[in-house]
Amino acid sequence: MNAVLDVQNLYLGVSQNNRYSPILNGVNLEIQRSQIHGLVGESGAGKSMLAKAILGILPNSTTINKGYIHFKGSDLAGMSRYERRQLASRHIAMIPQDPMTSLNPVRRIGSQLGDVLRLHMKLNRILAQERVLELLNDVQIRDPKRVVHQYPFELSGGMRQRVLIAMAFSCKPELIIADEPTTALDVTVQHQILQLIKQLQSETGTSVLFISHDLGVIAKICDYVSILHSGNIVEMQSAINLFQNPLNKYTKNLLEITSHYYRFENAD
Amino acid sequence: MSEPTQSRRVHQSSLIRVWLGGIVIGLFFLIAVFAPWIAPHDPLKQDLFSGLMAPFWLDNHDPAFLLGTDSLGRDVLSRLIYGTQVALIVAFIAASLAALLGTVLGLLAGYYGGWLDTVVSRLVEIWMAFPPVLLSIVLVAVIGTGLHSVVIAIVIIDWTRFCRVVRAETLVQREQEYISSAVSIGFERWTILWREILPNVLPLLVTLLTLEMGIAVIVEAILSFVGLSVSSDQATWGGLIQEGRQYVHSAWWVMSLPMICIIIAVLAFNALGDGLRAILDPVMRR
Repeated sequence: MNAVLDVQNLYLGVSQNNRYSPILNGVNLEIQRSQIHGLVGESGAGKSMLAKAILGILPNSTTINKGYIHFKGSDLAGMSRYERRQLASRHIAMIPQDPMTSLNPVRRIGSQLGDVLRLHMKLNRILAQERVLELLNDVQIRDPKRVVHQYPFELSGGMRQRVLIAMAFSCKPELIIADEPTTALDVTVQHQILQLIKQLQSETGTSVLFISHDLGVIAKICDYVSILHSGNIVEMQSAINLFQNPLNKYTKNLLEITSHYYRFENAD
Repeated sequence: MSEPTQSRRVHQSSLIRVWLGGIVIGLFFLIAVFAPWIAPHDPLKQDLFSGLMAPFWLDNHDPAFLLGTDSLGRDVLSRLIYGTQVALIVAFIAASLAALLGTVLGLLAGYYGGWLDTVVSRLVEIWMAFPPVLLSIVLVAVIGTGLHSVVIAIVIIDWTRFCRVVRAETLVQREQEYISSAVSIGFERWTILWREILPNVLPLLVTLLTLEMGIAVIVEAILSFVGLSVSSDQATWGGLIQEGRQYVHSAWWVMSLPMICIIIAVLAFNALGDGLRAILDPVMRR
């Protein structure tokens, strides 16, 4: 098949005070072109570490010990920072978990978005500023002309996440890693943000790795789902099959708990 | 609802500080620039027959010498006015150079870490183990007196202030999410340091810089006091204090007036720095 990203047999772990604790134990993950691929797992399962490994922003104490992350014919796992900038950075973007801390607090929105465009799209300052307005318009921010001159703290969480989504899609990447992009937002905003990601994804044909612990969210937006449990992918299926006919015991438990939870919520 | 009013009050009080500090320093600046036109007398002209005359509000004063004269009959007011020149030149140049050196080393050490950080941090620790005034006296004694040696001495002593604070702040900023976001986008290290981290350190830096200008005024005064600043035929505040010290019982103003000048200048720099910190930081400006 036509995979954008192919993670093979990935092992990584943290070394601290001469103690090594494994996080991922041989993860295999294939993300197809133009799909939204869900990655589900409980807290501590290693979802974010997998995302960071793909994005090349693992903390210093964490190392990849074995395995490959194939992207466009090269291996991200063994890449230097320089090679990564040349080959991959432009094509893999991210939508972060916490929109509050993921924008530089002392720089204006327009300048932050503009910098990305100038780096990857080689636009000059004026063209970049025009493009920023279009991008903000695409993510349904009202009054982009005002927003470009604002600082992050002047925007609501939902607005900031829209800005970050605009940033993620700005350079037409092939893959976007969305690491729990709605966890920090309240429920009504969550829904809008999901709609927006889904809409932009179908317009651009970008692949998305959508990380979440919330099966409800996954069901709304994903084509394909992988379940990560204690450092291993225990199940990889299309979303429809997974919810109707889960194969793995852990997945079954997870679905059961979730349905209990929703029943409990709806009983109110 | 009380929060916005409170923050507005904070904002207003810092505005007042910036204005007060700025106006006082601006006045000193004008005095320094126009010293030859403002000063009623030649600051070096001696008149041994009119030594130790009192300022205008005391008995035994001469209307020609508003703030009295020193033991050699030189006009105190004119000497204070010319002393402003040295004080301000040292304050601005020495503080800026110390800030530049300390900031560059602090940013690099904080961001790159590793051996660079180890070297810089140890250097700062060793530096801070020396008593600063003694170190400056030794330095000036070795490199000779003069305006440039005073500046060099202050830079060499005080770069650690900037280095420590900037390094610590860089370490904090480096771990923020927006930095890993910038790394994943593919910005070069240098760009991240310059465009992402430095703007976050800047409010702190401006505060430190203005505070350091106040400190530089004091250090210059100390060096003048021990006779290791500019040549003795140039009027400086510290030099005036030193000369006045011998006559403090008979003519207290010769020593006290330059002290008052120093206090006012340092207070003004501190007020300016404090106010600027609050205003420059967009998060606090909220």
